[in-house]
Amino acid sequence: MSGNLRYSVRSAAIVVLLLFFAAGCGADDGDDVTGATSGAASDPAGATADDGESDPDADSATTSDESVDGAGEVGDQASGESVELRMIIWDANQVDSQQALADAFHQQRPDITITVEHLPWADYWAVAQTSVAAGNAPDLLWMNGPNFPVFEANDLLLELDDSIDLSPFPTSLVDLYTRSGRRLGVPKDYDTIGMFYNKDLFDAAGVDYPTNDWTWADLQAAAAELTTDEADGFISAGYYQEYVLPAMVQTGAPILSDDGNEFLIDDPVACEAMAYLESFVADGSAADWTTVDATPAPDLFAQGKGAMYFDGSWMAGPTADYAFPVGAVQLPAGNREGTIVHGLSWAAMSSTQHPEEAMAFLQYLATEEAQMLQAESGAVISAYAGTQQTWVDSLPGAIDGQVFIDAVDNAEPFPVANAPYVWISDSSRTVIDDLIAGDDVATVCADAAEAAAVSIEENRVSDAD
Amino acid sequence: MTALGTRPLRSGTRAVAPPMDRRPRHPHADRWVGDERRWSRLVLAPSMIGLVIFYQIAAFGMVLVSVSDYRGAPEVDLVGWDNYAFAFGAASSRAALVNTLRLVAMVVPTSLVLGFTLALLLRRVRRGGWFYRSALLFPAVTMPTAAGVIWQWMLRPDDGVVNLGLGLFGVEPHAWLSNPTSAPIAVAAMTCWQYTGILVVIFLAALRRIPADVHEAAVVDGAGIWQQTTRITLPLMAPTVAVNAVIMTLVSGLSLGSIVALTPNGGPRGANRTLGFEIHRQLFDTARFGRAAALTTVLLVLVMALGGSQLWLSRRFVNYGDDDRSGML
Repeated sequence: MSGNLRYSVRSAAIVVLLLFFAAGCGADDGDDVTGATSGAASDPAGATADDGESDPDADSATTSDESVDGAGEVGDQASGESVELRMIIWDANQVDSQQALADAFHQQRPDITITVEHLPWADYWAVAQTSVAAGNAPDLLWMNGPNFPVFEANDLLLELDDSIDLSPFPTSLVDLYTRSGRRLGVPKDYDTIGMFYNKDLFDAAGVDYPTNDWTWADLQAAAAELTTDEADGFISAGYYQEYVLPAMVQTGAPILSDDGNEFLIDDPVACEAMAYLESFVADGSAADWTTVDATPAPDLFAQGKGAMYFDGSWMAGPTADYAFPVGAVQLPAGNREGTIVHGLSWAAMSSTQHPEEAMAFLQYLATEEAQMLQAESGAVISAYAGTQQTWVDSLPGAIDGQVFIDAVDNAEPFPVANAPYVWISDSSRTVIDDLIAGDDVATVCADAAEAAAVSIEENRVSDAD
Repeated sequence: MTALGTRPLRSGTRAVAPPMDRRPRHPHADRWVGDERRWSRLVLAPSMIGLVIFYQIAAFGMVLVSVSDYRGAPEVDLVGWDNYAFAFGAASSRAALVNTLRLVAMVVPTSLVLGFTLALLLRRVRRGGWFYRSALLFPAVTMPTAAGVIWQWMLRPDDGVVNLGLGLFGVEPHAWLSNPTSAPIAVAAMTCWQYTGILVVIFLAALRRIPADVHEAAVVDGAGIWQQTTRITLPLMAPTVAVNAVIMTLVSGLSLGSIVALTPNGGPRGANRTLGFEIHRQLFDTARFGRAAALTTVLLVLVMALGGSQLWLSRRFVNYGDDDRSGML
């Protein structure tokens, strides 16, 4: 029998090896992160870490003062010594446009060379956060609203020079990256939420296309009229950025408490938003909640199973390829008009050995010239006032991109709580669970607020402000 | 893996002499060939060095991180037991502990019964056994993410294969992944589907080592298939069952792939938020490295305890005679 045993042990050992191999192939994060980190370390621009033996703490403490005195204007202080900086981004489609910005800047400041590095989204935040301790942190990076609180609370970002003028940017975007009066990011681009509609379904039902002046009641009436056996009039969902938060803005109620610790959906006025979204399912003009939980709203719309749904400006391009013509309008108004605006920013890491040079690049990125250069790539709506027409012109389909740009005037910034964005996924999951269970709207709102509060409390980034 | 290596392999001392002697001997051959131990050390060295650096030293580092407030910033303070207080005190981690144990409890027995039954059936296959074996192993080498997409489609409430199939028997369509009771079952099912093939191969290997005359003798004594299986095959296979149980405990206790693939947000009412899920969340979503390390330490101890107790049980209650026990891990 010992042969039997040894045989089992041996085959088990082989299988365990196989498992590790399979796990390595399928691992969504772990292995890739290390790979990416070491990749970054071996990059030629990794030189940043070697050439200053000074204490990093002392550096970051004095950084803001130095840069205020130092980087006055772009181009006036070529120190003769050439400096290499690294900037990480997560969108492979924008590597070229971002490198073009770096090259254009290099023309003005030949002493500064910036390399754009692409990291996959799955690894991006983990690498960015751990790279400081690993000693291979990038000098510059893309930042988004949901991850900003973590970086801000851990002092990982460099405060912008006073000389950088952010007045040409939408206030909501500047505010997104300002905390306690410290400006930490230059707005890069933005997206807003609008309503997309299937023109074929409208034509078939003989209903007039929606307009920018619609109200909630108009949407509810049209949705009921458009509902047939094949397709629903509207696709309702519990997504926060596209559905719940914009609807909350339209109620006129605030989203977060001033201290950023509470999500105020349980306020009776704010909760009208939930009642509004639920009304479509209640009267049968939208698919039930389990359907949209199993198949995402954009997929249902693409399959022609709903005449209208809410989504971001980033869908304006892709919907041109759909099997039916698609239009877009601003979101219907409730107590007021409104939507949610979110945008990325460029930021500098506080750990950089070259704060002045990094700040000089940020200053360049805040100029109309740089923002126009980015807009011409057609990938995103540049944040700088007056550069948006380029994006509108670049859209392939029949969609009027202007509606997403006009929407900014009434938009509230994507809410940034005193905790990372997991509070949104936690609260959002609770909402959909409650809705599937058929709870009444007041309960849904109370549970959503409770789930958010628990999550924010558990993951709070700082006890200050 | 440490749990498996706690007991020295005594069988190794009874050297299995390789039939090297038939080949013409190199003058210095004795120096290497004669000393198996030296050879084995040499061959093992590269992987052992990797193991020590990337697992054991890293594990030690993890324990260090677990008592710190490391969040990515250069300044790190030691915070003592704070992270462990979170790991045992926070509602989310306690729920994760329960969810993990529930997943292990569902996956281990199911996959063992399924794997053993399939192995018994496959043993009778005379031709084309390789086909069934590879078919069964296929899910194990499929990327969890890709498999997850397929499973999501199969489980869709309106047009998924599962509901369509059940519909033939008059069963009402069910939203598998939207329901807090069925979502963990779906994850358990997918985990079993992925790894049972591996168990079948191991069981088959062990079945082949049972001498045919034992069964023949049993038949002469009038034992039926059921009696042969429960009285002869199963007891003789007990060590293999234990090894497979440990494998499935590791797989299901540490698993994350099928959970993330089926319910990326942790499932309805957080039903699929296991310890693995919480670790991932603390690491990548909230950047609380200390908490993630503490949760990982807890998970490591838990899985080692579960795996170790399975091996201990199999040694405690199954008697093979002195010689055979040595072959056990």
